[in-house]
Amino acid sequence: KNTVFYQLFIPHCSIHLSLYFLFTNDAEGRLHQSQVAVFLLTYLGPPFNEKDFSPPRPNSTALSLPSAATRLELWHGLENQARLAQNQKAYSVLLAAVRELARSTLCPALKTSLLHFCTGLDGLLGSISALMTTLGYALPPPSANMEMRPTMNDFAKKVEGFWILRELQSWLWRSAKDFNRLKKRLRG
Amino acid sequence: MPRLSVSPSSKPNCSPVWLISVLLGLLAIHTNAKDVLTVPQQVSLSANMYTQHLTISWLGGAATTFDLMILRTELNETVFYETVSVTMNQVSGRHQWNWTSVEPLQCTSLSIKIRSRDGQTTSEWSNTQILQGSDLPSNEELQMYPQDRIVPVGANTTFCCIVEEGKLFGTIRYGNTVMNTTRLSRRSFAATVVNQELSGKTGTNVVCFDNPKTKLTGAVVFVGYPPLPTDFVCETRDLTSAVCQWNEKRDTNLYRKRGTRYSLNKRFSPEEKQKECSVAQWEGNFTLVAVNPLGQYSLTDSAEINHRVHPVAPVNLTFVVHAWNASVLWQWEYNSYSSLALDCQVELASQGYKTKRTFSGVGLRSVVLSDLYPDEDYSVQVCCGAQQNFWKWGSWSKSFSFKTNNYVPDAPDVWMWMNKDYTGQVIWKPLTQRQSHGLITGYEVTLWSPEVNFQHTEFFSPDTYAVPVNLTQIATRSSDNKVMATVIAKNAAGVSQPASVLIPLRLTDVEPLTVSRAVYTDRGFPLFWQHNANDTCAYVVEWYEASCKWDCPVEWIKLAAGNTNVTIKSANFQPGVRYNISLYSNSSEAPELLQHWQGYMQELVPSSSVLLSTTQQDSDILLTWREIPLVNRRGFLLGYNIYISGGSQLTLLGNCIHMHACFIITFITICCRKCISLVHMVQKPEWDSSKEVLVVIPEEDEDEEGLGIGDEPVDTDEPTSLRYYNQVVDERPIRPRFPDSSDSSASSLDSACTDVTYTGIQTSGSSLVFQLDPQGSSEGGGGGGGGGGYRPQMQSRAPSDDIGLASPEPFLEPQAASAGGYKPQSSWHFDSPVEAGESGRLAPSLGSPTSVASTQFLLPDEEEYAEEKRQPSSSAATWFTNLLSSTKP
Repeated sequence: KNTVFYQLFIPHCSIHLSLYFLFTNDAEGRLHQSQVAVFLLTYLGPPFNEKDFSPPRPNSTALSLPSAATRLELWHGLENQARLAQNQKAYSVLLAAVRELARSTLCPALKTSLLHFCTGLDGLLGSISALMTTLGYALPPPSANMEMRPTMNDFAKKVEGFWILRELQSWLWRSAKDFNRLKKRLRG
Repeated sequence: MPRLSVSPSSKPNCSPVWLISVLLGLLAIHTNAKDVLTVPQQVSLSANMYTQHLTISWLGGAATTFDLMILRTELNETVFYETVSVTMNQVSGRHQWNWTSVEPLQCTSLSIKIRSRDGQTTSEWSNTQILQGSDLPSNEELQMYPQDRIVPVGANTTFCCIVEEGKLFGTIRYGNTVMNTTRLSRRSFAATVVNQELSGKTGTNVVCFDNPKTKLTGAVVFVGYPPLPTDFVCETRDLTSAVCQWNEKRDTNLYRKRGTRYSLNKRFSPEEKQKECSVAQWEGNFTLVAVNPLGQYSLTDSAEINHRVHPVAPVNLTFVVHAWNASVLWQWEYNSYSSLALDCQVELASQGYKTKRTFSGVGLRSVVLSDLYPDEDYSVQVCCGAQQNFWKWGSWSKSFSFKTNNYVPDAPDVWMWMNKDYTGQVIWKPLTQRQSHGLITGYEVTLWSPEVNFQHTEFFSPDTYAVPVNLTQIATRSSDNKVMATVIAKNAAGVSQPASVLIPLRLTDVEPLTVSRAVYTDRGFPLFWQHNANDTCAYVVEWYEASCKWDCPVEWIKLAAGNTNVTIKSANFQPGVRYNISLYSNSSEAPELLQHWQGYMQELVPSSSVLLSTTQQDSDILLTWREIPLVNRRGFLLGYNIYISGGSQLTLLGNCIHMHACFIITFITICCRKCISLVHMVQKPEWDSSKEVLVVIPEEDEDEEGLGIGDEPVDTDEPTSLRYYNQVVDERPIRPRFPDSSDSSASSLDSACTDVTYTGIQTSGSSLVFQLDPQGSSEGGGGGGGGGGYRPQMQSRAPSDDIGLASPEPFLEPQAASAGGYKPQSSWHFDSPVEAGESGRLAPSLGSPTSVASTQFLLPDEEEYAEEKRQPSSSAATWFTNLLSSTKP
């Protein structure tokens, strides 16, 4: 119930964009990590669930996605197409990564939560693709095949899972801003 | 390199010279070897990083003992230095030694050198061979070893962290624990975890931080158990193949790629989680091998196939249904079952009860279930086991349901009730589901008197269980003394056998028999009667509430001939209700009343008191009361106690065990606050003066020896005062008396005693309740003081003895002798004013927790009387007002 989600209706193409955040807000409006995020980090074991824990971001295939942290002036200068293409690319990579997380988890409840989350992401990705098609933009090429992943040790896999979650959070925040900007521009 | 070479001669020469030369030669070689030990050559290293094994091999010549030294290269610290015996591999000609490192071999570079030893003599050290660690400057990264290690519970593991070039080491954490570390090299630090506990499902994280915390790296270790399968057993379901099952005694805590793999007769089981494997043909001997990264475990099982038959569940159950039996038919999944001798269990469930029936047969596929009830729902399940070499019961089939067919109803259980005017009822018990055999559609009732050629039949709806009959006309026409009533029940399958009862026409003429008491036990009313040897009749025992006079709801039970006792039970029995219980003969003649009982399930205190009235007859007072209605008695009355009350004092005048009694009180004298009363008991209803009994009751100062029968002088003032007080008392309000359920426990098994009490206060028209109010008692008790008040139980000296009347219940309660007993007069609350009545009107009753009492005001308390005397102007009204003011809270 407390999961913060963002719904955006773009009248231009009658498309709903829904972002299911990996956060929840408490009574005072403070944001906390959602249950699925807490669940995953607890599942990975300490110190992954500790507040100030921050392992180095690996350069793995699962994380070969555009950075959500674009500098403000660059972000302002992005065209609609580039903006949507980055979102599309990011979520297609992240969706595959979360699916792999769900597949590899040993905990049934966590698997269910992650797969539920994937459904939401899948819907979001479909909406972005539909919007791009409506606006006449070419869809970016599909992401690299996840099957070609090099062998990673167990710790590296956990770090990757941690970063998938973090990237997802960053991208969901950014998308909320992106879509607001798109909406303004499309109205204009 | 000196080598011993012995060339065998084809022709042995036994010359002693040759032999000596050989021996000398041998000696010379040996002496040379001892002097010059071979320095080990071509030292080579082979490392297994996962197992941390280091294999060192070298050319060691003839030497068999070597010194091995292993150093951490950077810090030149000795890790291992021992003398070992190693024999030469005859094929390769090399010596080989295996060493297991405590630390992962990547942690730091190791230097290895070897020398030959012979006793105290050693060769030079070989060239040093270095096994390069991952802490070389060329490998600048932050690293941790070992990675992805799987260890058994209780193991000790050493982890090492190689800090990034140019950074400082911080800490190593194992889970939440910061570990102690030792330095292995410039960049390498080690920590050992001992006696490792089970890790989480995702393993335990071992993390290395630099200092300050800018980077981190880590490893995951999985701590679990080797496999331990149990209960390995193979059986057959289809009589051809084998299905083997097993369990794991404990969770290995290792999953997926680290999980246990099973093989059955060297064929791998497809699923890790599945503890079952099939083999297409029964092989007789089965071997299960369970393997995981921590070890393996084997189990075997051997058996003949026909000793391990676990039948499958019967399928496609069908039924052929009748009223009293049904056939169950089923099929087997495998044709091979047709020749298998089977024992089959049929579980039959009906009305919440389950029964099992067992049947046998070769390839059994149907059974007949007999002794079923018509029109009843049944559900059936079947499972079978091999008859020979029984192994275990097979799987239960699915549950299937059927309903048996209808059948004609059982004959109803018929009885009758006759009033005293030839009217009555023919009654029968509702047929239970198991008697109805189908939905009852109605009843047919026939009245029949062959003598007067009378037959009358009527039909009634299925919810009819009693029909009124009026035999007045038949009774007048018939000289026979009975009429037959026949009841037939009907359902869709037909009509029941007729059930008959003979209705006697002369019931009213029957003389009432002696009534016995029936005493209820926790199982009912046990009844006993004499059996007449010539009597072949059956019996009917009927019972109903004694207060019922007309068309009574009677219950009955029919008993076979020869019975001489029964215990009757009914859910309708109520405490405090008197039941009439009758035993009738039940034969071809009209029922004849044989015995009659009355009894209570539980006796309670009467729910009302007697209505008491007085009539003044000169100096006598006639006390009369009416019989307590039967429904209010709630127990067998033992008698009435008569008290005379002087405000705070109650004196038992006498008691009466007879129900229909009244008393005449004759006041002989009231002088100086004393009175003598005569109790004149007359039997009702005749009021026969011949039965008068006069009893003189002296009070206090009077000589008890002076009791006698006869008229005594009368205090002529007293009637006035009586009437006077009556008028006063009539002004007093009344508190209703509530039947106290708590009474029943105290008196449930004793018959109640009704008290007829004269008291200093008269109330009228209703019952009263006493309340314990010690404070009020002391205020209102007047001169009675602490020992005063209404305490009929305190009469330990039974006054009834003095007056020559038997007391059914002497008051002997010892605790009542102490002060502070009941003082009802001082605790009443006057909340409802009542009109004054006349002296002769019906008096009210007093209640107590153990009896009910009726009260008629006669005399004031002694003190109050004295007060009246001291105040000449005062009247009884004044006295009463004073009393009121003194008792008001």
